[in-house]
Amino acid sequence: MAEYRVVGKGIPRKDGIEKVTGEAKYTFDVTLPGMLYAKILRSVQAHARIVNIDTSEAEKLPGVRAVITGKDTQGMKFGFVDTPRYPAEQPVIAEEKVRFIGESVAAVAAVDEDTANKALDLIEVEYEPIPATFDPEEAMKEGAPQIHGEQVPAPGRKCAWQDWGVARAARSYNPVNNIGAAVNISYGDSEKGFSEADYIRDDTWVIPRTNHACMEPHGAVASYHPLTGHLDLWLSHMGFELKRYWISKTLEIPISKLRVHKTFIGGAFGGKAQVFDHEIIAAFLSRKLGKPVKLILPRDEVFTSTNNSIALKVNVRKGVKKDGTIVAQHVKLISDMGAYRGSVPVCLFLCHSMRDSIYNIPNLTHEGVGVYTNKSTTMAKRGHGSQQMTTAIESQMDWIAEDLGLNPVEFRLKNLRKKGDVLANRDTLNSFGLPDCVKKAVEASNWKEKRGKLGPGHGIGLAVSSMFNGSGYWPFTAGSIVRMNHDGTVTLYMGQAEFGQGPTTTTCQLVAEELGLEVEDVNLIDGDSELCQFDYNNFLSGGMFVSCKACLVAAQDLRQQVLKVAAEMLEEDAEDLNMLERRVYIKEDPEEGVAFDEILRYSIQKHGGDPLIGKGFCKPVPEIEFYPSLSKGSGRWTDAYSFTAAVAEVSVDAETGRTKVEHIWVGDDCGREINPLICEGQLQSQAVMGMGDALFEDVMFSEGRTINANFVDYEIPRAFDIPEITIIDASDPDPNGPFGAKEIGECARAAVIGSIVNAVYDATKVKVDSLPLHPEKIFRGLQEKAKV
Amino acid sequence: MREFEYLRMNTLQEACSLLSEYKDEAKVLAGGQSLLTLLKLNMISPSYLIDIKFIPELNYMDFDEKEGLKMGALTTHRTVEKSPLLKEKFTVLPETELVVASVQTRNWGTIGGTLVHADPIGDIAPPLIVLDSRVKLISADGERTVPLAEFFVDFFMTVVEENELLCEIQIPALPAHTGVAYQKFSTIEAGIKIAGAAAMVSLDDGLCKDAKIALSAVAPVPMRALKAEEILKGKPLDDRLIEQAAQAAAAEADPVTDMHATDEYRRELVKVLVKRAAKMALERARAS
Ligand SMILES: Cc1cc2nc3c(=O)[nH]c(=O)nc-3n(C[C@H](O)[C@H](O)[C@H](O)COP(=O)(O)OP(=O)(O)OC[C@H]3O[C@@H](n4cnc5c(N)ncnc54)[C@H](O)[C@@H]3O)c2cc1C
Repeated sequence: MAEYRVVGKGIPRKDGIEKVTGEAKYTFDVTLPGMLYAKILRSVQAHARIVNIDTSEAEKLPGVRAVITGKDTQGMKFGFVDTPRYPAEQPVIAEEKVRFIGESVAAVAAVDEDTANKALDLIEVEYEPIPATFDPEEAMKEGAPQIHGEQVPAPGRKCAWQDWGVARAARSYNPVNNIGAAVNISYGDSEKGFSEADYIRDDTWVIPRTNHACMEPHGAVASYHPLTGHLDLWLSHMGFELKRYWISKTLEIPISKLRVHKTFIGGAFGGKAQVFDHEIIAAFLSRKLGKPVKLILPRDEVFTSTNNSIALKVNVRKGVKKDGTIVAQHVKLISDMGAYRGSVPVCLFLCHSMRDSIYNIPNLTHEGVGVYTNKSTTMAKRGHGSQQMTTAIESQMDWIAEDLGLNPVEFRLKNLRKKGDVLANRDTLNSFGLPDCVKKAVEASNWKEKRGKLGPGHGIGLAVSSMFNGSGYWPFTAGSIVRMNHDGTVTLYMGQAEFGQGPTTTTCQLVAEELGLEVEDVNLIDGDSELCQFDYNNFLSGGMFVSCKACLVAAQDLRQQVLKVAAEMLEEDAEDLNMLERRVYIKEDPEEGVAFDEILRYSIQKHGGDPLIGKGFCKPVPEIEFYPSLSKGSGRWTDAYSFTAAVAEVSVDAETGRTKVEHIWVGDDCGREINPLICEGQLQSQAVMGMGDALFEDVMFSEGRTINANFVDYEIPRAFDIPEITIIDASDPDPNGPFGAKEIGECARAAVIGSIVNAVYDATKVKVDSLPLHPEKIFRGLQEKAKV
Repeated sequence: MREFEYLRMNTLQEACSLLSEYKDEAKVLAGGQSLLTLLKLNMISPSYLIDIKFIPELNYMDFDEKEGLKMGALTTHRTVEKSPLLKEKFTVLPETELVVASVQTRNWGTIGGTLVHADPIGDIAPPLIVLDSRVKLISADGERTVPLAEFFVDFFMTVVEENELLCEIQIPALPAHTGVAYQKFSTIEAGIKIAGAAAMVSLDDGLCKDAKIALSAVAPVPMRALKAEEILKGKPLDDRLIEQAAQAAAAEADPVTDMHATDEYRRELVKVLVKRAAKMALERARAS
């Protein structure tokens, strides 16, 4: 394996000092002269016609500058998905009716937050309740209250995918019986597959919504300049491209007049990807008033009005041969979407595509529906569909192994795909570290000595997962510039937003490695839509593979330019030169060379002023022109997959059913660890997050009202809940990744959830069919067992 | 949150006189850990906040073998957790603090505040009840002392009148051969309590001379499990008897179903927690 100077070193995060000293400026910290404060009135009704909204008293309150309702934003629609088939259907502010508790109904801008809050109290909304529906399987029945009528896009309205120039024409999907999205993917011949199976198992899991629980709540500062028509934005987000596209689209402000400034971001985990009503409202109010407007959501609104993860009922039917060869699988999904689609149409597809790279299943059918209910909307959360499916599939793998007397590790290894496999959609597994992940995690955890041997109340479990490395999504490219500075350092421009995943450090490592520099020699300008290039950001975990790679390509370009000038100066061939410590030297005679600053001056003087600027770009999934069909799953999805195998050891209190996780081992194939410290941080945080999903977390509703919209009742793991976590690098470098690197930020969470689920089963033999594994469920199961 | 006037008190007298003037328009502020949440959720909207946190007369801890322990209402959870005196004399209290919230909350929150707040999931009340604690209340009109077991009236309600302050917590010295233990059950560590039980066992000549059991989060107020106590008193203790007492305590409990657990499960937990607390108390009594 090649040895690198900077790549592979666990250097501390570049943004660490600002964060720990409190210097870092988050959206909340942005204060502009004359700034106003906005608040949103949220619906208290789950499903109701808005008869009248009386804002007159609120408008009279001293200090109030504007009160707006759905009349002001009439016709403005937004959504995560906006394709010809699934046009965006969420109004910025509710218009004729409200569809969930927490939906925006009106908004106020005032001189301070208290005044804005008081004004909200003075707005009188007259509702006429309509029967509501909260359970997706009830909502699907004939005669259930219909949450949406026919979704006819406004005449002349183009959807996002048409704007982006990559949409195939399609008829829009009209919800019937609240079914607002559907997928139907298949290959092979499932019926035949099942008929050849010696054994068939059928299991169903219900996975609830969980919250992203970002430390920083969502918020926006918008500042519109009435004379120039420019809109400046500071947001808590995951990438400026989608935000600026949507704000530009809804408010009809030219996209080039809109600037998203860099902010520090306190976590996102998928939950800040899409544009939100509050962001459009802040911008709308700023334009209306010609003043800066700040709108920060209180924590309860983060729970009730942004989005939680996707709630799914997952049914898996699997056929296997006696020897453990999988021959068929049929998955049926029902998603409790909430009042608008959110990212459910994508998730239903990802549930298949994120797992298709793992096992070799010759005959497969994957069907799913997203059902509207009168609840808040749902979105991606770190793994987007993978964890829901992984829970169902990986627990079933263990149960099948048990039924057939197979070793669960061998059973998995036997069915894994192989390096080089080409999937049904033509994605190729150019790298495939999964078998190694399994072997190493099993070995490190001492699995063989533990499985089935730990005694009552103790258990160990294994699960595997997979993740994309970026996909064909707006703006379908990442661009970067690296320029040489007077002193021989470089300045790098990267569009990707840093929200904890680490690119502000790792990208500098890539560029430093390529140019023979130290990380300190790379000045970074990032996350600003005006200063930086287009950027794919890290949607579907393309941060390293696509966005950081563009930076590496820019550095490669600069390297070639520098070498060319140096070759001229040294009268040598460029191939005979190398660079280190801000200078180019002759390989054969390292004492002989020229410094970068001299090269720069020479280039300026002798090459018509060329100041040496490297340019790079990268397209996620280069070969495709059109996005894959979400509903049929056809078309290329991603260029590389990363993998995780997790093992968890637990103890379960037999008298109470309470699970304590003792140890988690994470074997991960991230291609190459560009920065092992950051990798470790990402994997630890996924282990902890996964533990929360497995054991504690569940956003609960009563008649559509979120009843635990706070961190007292919604419990997440805290420092003292965290078990020992062992991180194991099992990377298989990918030929297309920068220095072989793939993703590290999302894959592991699903495997960890699955491993805990399987460990609890190993400890108790209690079959649970829903997450989280609340102690009461296990207790009931143990009681049932005791009776038998 | 409604606007209010913030008044910082320097003496107990000043606080008492303002309380008798403003009565239900005022709220006492100590560490603010519960009060600020209630304010933010608009569950209370006082016109005056009377901050007692800086009154030196409310912050002390004294012990003598005859009088027992006296601590001021402002004693924080963290002080209890770290006190060498309490670790020696009433081990159960510092132990209990380890499952109360987080260090941040323990640094701010006071024992007076947690008792007056009277959340049935409060952790410190059950051990204090089995320790036979009393609390001293003071107002412009005078003082009174109330056994903690009679202090709680209903969910978030105590006998404290609107012009009164809780000023002191009193705990008698432990009799010889006495053990006390507390058990809390929550999903995450030190999380929202689903059920809790404290037990005190006093031995004399191998027999259980006295026993007290207090349950929390399974009734509107922290409650004594009197029937369970009777089962233990006067008898030689063994696992079977403790099991019986635990069953009795579960029958006495009056739990509700909420988002965290069902009433049936809470009752089952009472059985387990009483059993574990009583066994631990017994062991400790034997060892002392
Ligand atoms: C995140 C979090 C987690 C928590 N977890 C736990 C836990 O695990 N276990 C647990 O037991 N508790 C827990 N608590 C509660 C915590 O213990 C109490 O909030 C705290 O002890 C209350 O004390 P305080 O001084 O902050 O009271 P304040 O909030 O200031 O006051 C509480 C109430 O008591 C009144 N009051 C205060 N002092 C007096 C007085 N001397 N006389 C008369 N009235 C008074 C106030 O008017 C108010 O009504 C938690 C709290 C938080 C915020």
